[in-house]
Amino acid sequence: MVGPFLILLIFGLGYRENPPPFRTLLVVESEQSQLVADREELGEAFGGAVTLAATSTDIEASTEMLESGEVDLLIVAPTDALASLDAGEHARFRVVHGEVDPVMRSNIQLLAKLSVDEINRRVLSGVVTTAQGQSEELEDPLAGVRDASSQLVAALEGGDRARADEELARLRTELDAAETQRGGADDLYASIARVLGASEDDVASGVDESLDAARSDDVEAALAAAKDIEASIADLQAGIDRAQDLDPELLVSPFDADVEEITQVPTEPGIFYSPGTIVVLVQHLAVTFAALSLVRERQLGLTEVFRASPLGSGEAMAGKYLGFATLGLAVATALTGAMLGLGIEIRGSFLSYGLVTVLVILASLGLGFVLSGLSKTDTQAVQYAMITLLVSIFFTGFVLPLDQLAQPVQVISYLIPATYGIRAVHDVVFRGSSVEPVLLAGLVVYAAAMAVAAWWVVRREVVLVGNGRTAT
Amino acid sequence: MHASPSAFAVATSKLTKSYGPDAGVFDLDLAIEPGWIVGLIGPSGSGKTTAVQLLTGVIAPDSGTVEVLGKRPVAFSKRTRARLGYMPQHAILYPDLTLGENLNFAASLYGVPYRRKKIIRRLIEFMELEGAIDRLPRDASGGEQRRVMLASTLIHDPDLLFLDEPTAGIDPVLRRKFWDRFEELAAQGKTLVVTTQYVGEAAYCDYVAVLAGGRILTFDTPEGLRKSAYGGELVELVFDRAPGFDDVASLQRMGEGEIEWVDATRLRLVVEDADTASADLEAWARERGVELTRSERYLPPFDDVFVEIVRRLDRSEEAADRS
Repeated sequence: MVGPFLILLIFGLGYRENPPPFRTLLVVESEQSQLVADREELGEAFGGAVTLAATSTDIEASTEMLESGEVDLLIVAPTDALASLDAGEHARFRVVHGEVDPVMRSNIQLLAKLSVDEINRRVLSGVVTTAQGQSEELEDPLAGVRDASSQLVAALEGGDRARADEELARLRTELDAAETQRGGADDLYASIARVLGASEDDVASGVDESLDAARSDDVEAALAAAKDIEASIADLQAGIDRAQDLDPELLVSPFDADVEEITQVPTEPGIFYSPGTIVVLVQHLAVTFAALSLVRERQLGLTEVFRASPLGSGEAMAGKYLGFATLGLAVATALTGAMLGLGIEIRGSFLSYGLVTVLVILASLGLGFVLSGLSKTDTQAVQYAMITLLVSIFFTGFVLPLDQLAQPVQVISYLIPATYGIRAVHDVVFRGSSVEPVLLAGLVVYAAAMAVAAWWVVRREVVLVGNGRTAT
Repeated sequence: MHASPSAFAVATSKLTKSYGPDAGVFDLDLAIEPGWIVGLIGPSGSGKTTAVQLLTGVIAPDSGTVEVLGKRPVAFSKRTRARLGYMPQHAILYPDLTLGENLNFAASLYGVPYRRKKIIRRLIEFMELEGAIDRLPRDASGGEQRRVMLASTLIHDPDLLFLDEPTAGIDPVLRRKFWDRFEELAAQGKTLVVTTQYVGEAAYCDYVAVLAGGRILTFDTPEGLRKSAYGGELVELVFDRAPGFDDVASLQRMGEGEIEWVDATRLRLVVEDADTASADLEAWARERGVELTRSERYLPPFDDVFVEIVRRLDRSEEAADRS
């Protein structure tokens, strides 16, 4: 009895939620590669899942180290990333491993995908930062242009044509100065266009048209044109300010996700599996004791004594159910106490929890008695009980969700008491709700059906007259 | 059988249960009145246990009729079963319960009232189990286990007891004690059906059924068994010196069968009535001037009786085959 609990306790104490990081070798083209200098940052991109042990330029030696188990992973950097990009192809990191466990293989593939996404994000963030820096260089030339344009508007509004002409000339001079500073008109207009999200041609033609219109003898037209220029420059400045204010990380990854739980219950594996473990263990205990009960009595020869006695099948059944149910309840209480002691609270009612426990015990006892009827020896009975345990681990939702089993196979699930019990205790313990009526009804019907079958088995053993030699 | 079947504690007619050509019981005819101690005696495999199982309703017969306490065993009610006590051939005890706890369990099985301590205490004294009652079966001797089994059989004060080889594997002193207990129980009005391989225990019974090959060879009192085995009663004569040929021939004519010589001066003679014959033999000795040291009834041990019964049966079968 103590064995399974000890095993689980040791497993629980020893289990590590996060596996140790992969010992990883970075393979680069040369030691002068930028990646060697950025090794630390590259390691960060892979999160805590890898430990970059060293770098190497020898792919063959590195592969040998991987094959011999000295390292777990090789990250082989792309040899000429820029050349690949220029050719219109991805620059590929190769992540090489020698893992045979399919779960670990999946982990590595996921790790590679996420890590490359992180690398891409960091690269894009760097590009945006560079672009923001470039836009800062427009600050000074734009200041002069802004001042000249506002002075031009003021002059035209004041009717001072001479001053308006001076400011217009200054405006053109400031624009030229900005072009010079930027290294050419194309660069300036291209920069503006990028910031505004407009085409470079539209920006260039818009400014030139306004400058020409500002020279018009028609004061109204000239003023309108001057105001257009002022507004364009203001928009440009606002656009640049906005671009500089934006976080590059946000620009590169505008969307993020928050996961919310309506249960508000911490569900680390140790917490999640505890109630289910109790159900499985209690079921196993009840099935095993019941399965051995009749077999042992048959082997001891007690069946003969019972048949000669006034013992009825109902009395025999009641005695066995009462005795074993009391034992099962005591064990379930102790395990539940241990669970509560570990800080896992039952959010629902204790009454519901207790009801489910009692029904699981009764259902399991019935199943055990039926198995006892099928067993000729105690070894066989134990084997049947172990098979039931194995089925319980894979088919009841204990390890894998039931939905991951094909529907026809789920029939097996509903032949095991733990299927009902695990779902029910999860509702009570984690969701704080009462037991679903369907689950409760299923468990009651199961327990009743098994009780009828068990009654038939017990009756056959201890009451009905035999036709062959009894075990003596 | 003159009384009606319902007056008998046990009544069977041609009761048969076959496990094979020579295994089981065949055409069992028994009539046991209340208060008797009846011994079912025979070697291993003679059908004793099968007979008891048929009488207690543990197994069903293939053919024939059987009534115990006026009821068919396969249809016993709880009330009838509560009037029976059954002690199986082997000690059947829960290995993890002490002898006392096993006794308590037996009390529960037969619905002995909750205040059963007094009854149990009395039985412990009756079976001399005071020192062993707290032992586990594996720590108890075979005799102690058998005594607990017997106590379990008696715990509900049954009217009719079926004891399957209760004295198997225990020492002669304890065996004698068991039979003393059986006689006490019979004196209380209980009926006992006791199977045994120990032929000598026939002497303790009111009636004995000798079984061989699943059949009853004879059913009689112990005295009747001796008579039927030898064709009469035995008288043992001890002479001062070996009798002459004429004396022996004369003696032969006085008896019922062949003379059995024990040694040169001692012989046994089968007569119709030993008491009457002793006086006649003494007179004969005086007439013929033979020195007769002793003349007395001889009670052969039941082992010899049983052997003689089987021998007679074999002889009659051979004679039947020849004819």
